Amino acid sequence: MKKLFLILICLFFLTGCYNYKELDELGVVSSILIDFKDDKYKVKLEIYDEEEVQIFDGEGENITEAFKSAEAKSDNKFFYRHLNAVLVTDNVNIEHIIYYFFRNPETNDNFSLINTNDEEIYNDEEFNVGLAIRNDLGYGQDFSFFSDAKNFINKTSDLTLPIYKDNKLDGIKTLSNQNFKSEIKDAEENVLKILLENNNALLNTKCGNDYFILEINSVDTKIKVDNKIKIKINIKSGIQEFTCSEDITKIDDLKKLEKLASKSLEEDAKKLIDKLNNDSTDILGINTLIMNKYHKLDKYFNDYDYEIEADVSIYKKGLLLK
Amino acid sequence: MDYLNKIQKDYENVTDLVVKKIKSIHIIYLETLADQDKINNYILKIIPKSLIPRDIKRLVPSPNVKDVTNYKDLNLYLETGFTIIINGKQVIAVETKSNLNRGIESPTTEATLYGPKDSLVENYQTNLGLIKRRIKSSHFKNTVCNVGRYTKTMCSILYIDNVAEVELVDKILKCLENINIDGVNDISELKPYLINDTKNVFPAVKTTERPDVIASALLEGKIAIIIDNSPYALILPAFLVDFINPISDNFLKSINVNFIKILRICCFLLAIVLPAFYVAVTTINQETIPTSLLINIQNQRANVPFPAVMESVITLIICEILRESDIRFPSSYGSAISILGALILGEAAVSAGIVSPIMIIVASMTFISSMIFTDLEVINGIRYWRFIFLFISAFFGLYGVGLSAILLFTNLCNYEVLGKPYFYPISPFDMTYLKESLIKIRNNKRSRLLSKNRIKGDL
Repeated sequence: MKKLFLILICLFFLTGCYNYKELDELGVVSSILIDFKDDKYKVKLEIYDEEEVQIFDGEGENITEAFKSAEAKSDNKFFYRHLNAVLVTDNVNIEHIIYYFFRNPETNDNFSLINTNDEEIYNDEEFNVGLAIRNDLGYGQDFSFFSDAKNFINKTSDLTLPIYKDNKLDGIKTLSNQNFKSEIKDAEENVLKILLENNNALLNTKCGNDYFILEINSVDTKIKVDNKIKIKINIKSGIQEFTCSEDITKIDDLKKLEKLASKSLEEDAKKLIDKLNNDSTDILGINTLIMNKYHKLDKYFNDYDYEIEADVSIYKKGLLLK
Repeated sequence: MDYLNKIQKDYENVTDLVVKKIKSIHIIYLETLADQDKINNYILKIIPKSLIPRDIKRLVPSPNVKDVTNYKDLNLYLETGFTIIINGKQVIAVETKSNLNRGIESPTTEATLYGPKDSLVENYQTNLGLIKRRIKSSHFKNTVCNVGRYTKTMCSILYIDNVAEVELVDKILKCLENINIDGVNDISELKPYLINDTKNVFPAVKTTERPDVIASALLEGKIAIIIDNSPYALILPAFLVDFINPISDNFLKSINVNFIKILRICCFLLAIVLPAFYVAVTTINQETIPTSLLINIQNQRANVPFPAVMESVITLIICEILRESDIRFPSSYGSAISILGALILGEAAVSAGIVSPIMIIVASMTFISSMIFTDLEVINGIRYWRFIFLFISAFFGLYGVGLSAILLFTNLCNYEVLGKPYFYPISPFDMTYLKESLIKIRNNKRSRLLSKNRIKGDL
């Protein structure tokens, strides 16, 4: 009885102890925009508020100060465990951002690092940017902060950040030596996704004046370092859209289409890799593979010749009517 | 010894004592307990008009006639409805008990859809008969003793001698004989004397009103106790799993019952953990729930002035008050309580901003889950642990829920009933008893902990 009484007393006097925070006193952060201008960090925080969102902004000489000045404007304590996205402009030093969030124990580790140069993304109070990005990328994300930060810190490969523009994700931006490089969009974005083994890609192939689009079910990309860099791509796919004259009920025609798709992918991948090499962007982590094999970097990834071999198989043809 | 004078002196102000003198015979009985017709048929009609023989016992046609050798026995017979005949030096007691019983009715606390519909009554003989009707074997034994200085209530320990552990029977008999109290009004009063369970809040003895439950427990190797004037029996030893799964499971198809059995285990855990989990995720571990749910709860709690833990305590205490009043009130008032409690109080508390709607859902889920268990003692035990979980989780969040769970399970594993582990058959693990309790699978063996005669069907 004494113990129970003691527990009850403690309940009244000690409920404000470590880590205790009442839900109604929290401002749940959905996304953060970070910019660097006039030697100052500028942050905007998007907070969930019933049907709408609230925006709090702050600035400071460093990221911590900028966050503190934003928090001072709100009655609530900001809660970063449900963070969907951190949007950074081209002006910020990406290394600072990655290390800041990597060390921060108050954030979750599965938000996405996004690039944007649109400072007015939070103009619509009824539109939740963080949630829109999360829905666009899906929950089985390939662009999660933790894997990005791990690759960045270990220098395994260069970073790629999705670009947020006009209320949607549009293209991918590459980074090299902490500097933003070229944008990769549309068909190139699809090829990059295939090279990064992302199933959420489409393969568009021309057959004369017509075309067919393959939906990728599984992709397996193997990279081997030898005299050349050999990239072997195995794809299992299904036909999504088809306007060509070939009869896909016939095996010979189907084989022809598979060859056509493979060849087209090889050419596209070659073009993309040439572009990335010109930018000195090692997205595929080839430098790491060279180091693992030779334990030295006499030649860098862009000094090698590339040999690309694609093998596209069409497994699903859809409903065939005669 | 002059019994007559002693009786008249001892029963001086007892108005129902009747002493009749016919010739040299004295007939003594308590008219409230004795049946006038039986006295007439068994005694008055057989008294010869001429000479009274020395041995009157052989004339009495009653099936139950006892010789009385001392005043203590005479007193006991008189108090149990016998008629005492004093014929010179011969003193005999003739059974003339009147039938003061109600009829056998359907079970009220353990009602089932299928299965037998009879339940125990206040009469010891009827109860014994109901069980004997189910176990027709000479191995079915009962050991009798009286408990209570004034009430002298007849207690009977029932067991099947080649199935149950006879040492356990002796142990229980010893416990009953050592009881030194004025009286026993109900069998539940015997529980503290049988098992000293101050450390465990869950019941260690199963109370039942169903003779079929008693019969199946006896066949498992357990021991039952029935007493006069109580429509309930005790079954022991009882383990935690026995309270989670009722007998009605035996009357349904296994594959369907197993789903319900698993559901009941979930409900048992839910009834303990749910408020604690709510407090943990809303005050400390907000990161563990999906964002949309978090925002939803946040909006609902926006107008509540109390911390989540106080809100939970208030709601749970209101629910406890409602439940208690529902149990105590006559059933005709039951619906009024429900309307007052559920509709008015629940709705008004939310509108007034004292509690949030999600808390009402949590409290309702908690109470509905605990209502699955028919034994009030189990519900009380669940309530005790619910508050422990709640307070610890208020300090440590989900880590506290984990700590409390360790505390609960170590407590359950640490406890013994008559030398048998209470968390059996989970710890120590025994598939045989598990098939009888937690899941329903065809089983032709008895548990090794309860019986040495392990194969069912061996006599």
